[in-house]
Amino acid sequence: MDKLLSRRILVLSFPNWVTDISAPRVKQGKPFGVYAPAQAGLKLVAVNEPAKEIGLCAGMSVVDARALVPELELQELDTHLIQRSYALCARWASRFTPWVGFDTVPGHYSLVMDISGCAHLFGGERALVEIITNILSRRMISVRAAIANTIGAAWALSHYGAYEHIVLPVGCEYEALLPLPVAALRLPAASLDLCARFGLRQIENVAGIERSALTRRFGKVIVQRLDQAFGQLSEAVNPVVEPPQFRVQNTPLHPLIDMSQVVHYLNDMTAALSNLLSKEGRGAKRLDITLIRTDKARLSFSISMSQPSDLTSHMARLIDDRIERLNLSLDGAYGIDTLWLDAPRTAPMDMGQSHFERIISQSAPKIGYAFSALCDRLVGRLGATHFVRLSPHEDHVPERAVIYQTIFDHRPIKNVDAHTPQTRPILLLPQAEVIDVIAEIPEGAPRRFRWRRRLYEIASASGPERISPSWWRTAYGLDVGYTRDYFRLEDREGHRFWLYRDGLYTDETHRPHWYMHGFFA
Amino acid sequence: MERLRANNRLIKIQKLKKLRASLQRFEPQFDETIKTGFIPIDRDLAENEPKFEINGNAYSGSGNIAHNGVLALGAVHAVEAQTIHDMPAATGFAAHLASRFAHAAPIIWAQSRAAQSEWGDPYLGGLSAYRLNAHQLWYMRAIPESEFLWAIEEALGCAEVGCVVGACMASNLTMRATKRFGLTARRSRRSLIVVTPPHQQKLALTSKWQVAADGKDHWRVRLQGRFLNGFRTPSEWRLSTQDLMADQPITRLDDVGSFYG
Repeated sequence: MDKLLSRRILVLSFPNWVTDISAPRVKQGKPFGVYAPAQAGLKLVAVNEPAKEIGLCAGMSVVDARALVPELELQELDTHLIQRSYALCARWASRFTPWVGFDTVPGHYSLVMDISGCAHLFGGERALVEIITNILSRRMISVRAAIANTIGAAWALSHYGAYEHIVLPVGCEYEALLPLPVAALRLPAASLDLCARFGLRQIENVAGIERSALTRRFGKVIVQRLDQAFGQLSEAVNPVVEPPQFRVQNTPLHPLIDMSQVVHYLNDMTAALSNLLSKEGRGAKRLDITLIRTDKARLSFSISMSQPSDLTSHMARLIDDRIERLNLSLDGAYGIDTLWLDAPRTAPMDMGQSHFERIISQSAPKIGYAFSALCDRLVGRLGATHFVRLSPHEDHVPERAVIYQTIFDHRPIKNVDAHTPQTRPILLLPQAEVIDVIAEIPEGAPRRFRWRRRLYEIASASGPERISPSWWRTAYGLDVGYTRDYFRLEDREGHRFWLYRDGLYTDETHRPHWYMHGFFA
Repeated sequence: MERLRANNRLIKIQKLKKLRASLQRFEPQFDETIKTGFIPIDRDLAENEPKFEINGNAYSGSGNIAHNGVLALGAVHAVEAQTIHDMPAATGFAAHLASRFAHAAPIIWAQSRAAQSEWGDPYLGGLSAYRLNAHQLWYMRAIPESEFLWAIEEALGCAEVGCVVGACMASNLTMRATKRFGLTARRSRRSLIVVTPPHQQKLALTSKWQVAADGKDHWRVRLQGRFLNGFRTPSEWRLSTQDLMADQPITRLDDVGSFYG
């Protein structure tokens, strides 16, 4: 009981999260709503304060809302943005305490933070609340904060309390919670309906009823919630950002202002991380490096590895290459005062043949560790899209017949029946280039063409090879290409080109263009 | 006074001799070469390389141990196109050489960004003529010029790579860079093939091939390099790409065990 009483929970609730995030630039005082498509047309999902005063509410259809308020501003709901900013907010809140959790009640946006023992670092609980609400209101996010001993009490006060900032002293839960409505107990909708039907409107009505009677009518939930709110049942905060198992943290005595110092510290930390990993027999598959400045701003990047590794030299080299590529410069006024190196994804080191090894062993019987280390270094410095494998793909259109697969893509490379090298060039331009051609209409081979400001005279031609866009793609509007007629041309000097005419005369287009696509050896 | 000056000169000459002798150790002694795979080239080079004997070992005129091949492993070779329009022919020749160097090991092909916009990416459909399959080829595409040299050196330093091919504009390469590549290649015993458009720069190469397209299925290939010394036959060949020894197994002086040794 004592342990429970000594916990202090801060709950931040955001009554207008959706509208605040969707349009922070809407002038204060103007009505604004967020809509989303529903079964019967577009419906409002959330409205801001001025709109609520006029009489709009969530669930109204957009047509009705527009009729009521012609100058209403609307925006479509972007769930991705909402979720992402919610997660970012939780990450930001973790600068106050590592125990930050999301709300479990659907429809409400709030953060539950366990601040036992850290309030004094910010000057006390009231000061902490001031700081947080100041920062958030500068971002135009409306927030209500409440600090209490239990999650239930803090949640109730923050969402339904009388004031915007509430700091509840120890032992005052009863007086504070009893006048609040029943919804403050975080009950499911069915229980709330039942309470309404029985006329139980406030918590004091519910708290007075005998336990067994409550359980019989409403189930275990309501009793559980009551106990949690008053501190008889413990409830834990589920932290959003879990501290990783393999983390090395370093806090230098003086803030670092030079990148070379940072690199030096990171190399030492790599050795420590490698020790941690090898003790558990695991290798890191991803490294996350976070640099925290003195003004609490964070700089982080991550490096993926194709095979789990616990070698100091390999990891240190990857980090060095990546830092060099990022070309970071540190602001002289704010140095780096904390460095984190963690391995969020690890795998056991002595696993059997890993997937990557199986991929490489297709090309050579015995490939060891050096090749995958090389791949990691190249990908780390150049980027994953610059180190690829050519994978044949079943498609008639030549530029789609080969896809570039990164090394993290584990799809096997198929053996597709390729065209003979007589018909396919050795070099293909990334973008086909427009050329001017003199050719017979409608289906003749070119006699002369101008490409990159040079005139070429054709000595011999073969073709045409007709390649049509896939009908299953054009039918769904994925492709808007025309039929192509490819020609293999040889000019007077012996150079061979592969070009095509885009579109058939009169059937598809009146003025088909000619393009240069590739070159033969 | 005169004698002092003479002594100084003698000391200098001795120092110079010692320096030359120590540098001689670093001069690459190629002891592994492979054939190009084109019958006319291999035949001509094998016949016409002058050989002489010292202490029972055969040496060629250029100071290398004489073997039948010309393409040395662990060295830098260049394939240069005759004109910018011969780049596809040069690419094909380089692909063929790479498949002979690498045999079955992975080949890393690096293309700089300028090269990609000038003449495009290698295409799998055409590469299949040179016995390169998709499993073996690892393609570094559109690398910025500033990272190109680093990437080539990293790839060359790895002993599990069969061969490295670098296609770039010649302005990217310098004598110093190619010398560095040579040292790295020698240390890891893997070869580098550099494919460039025509240029006038002096580079530190073991062999330089100039390729021009000559109509359908034909190439004109010219060899420049140290092996020209003492050659009497022309070092220019007109090859048919059908001359590629398709049916004969690739023979190398060392068995494939050298890759994994």
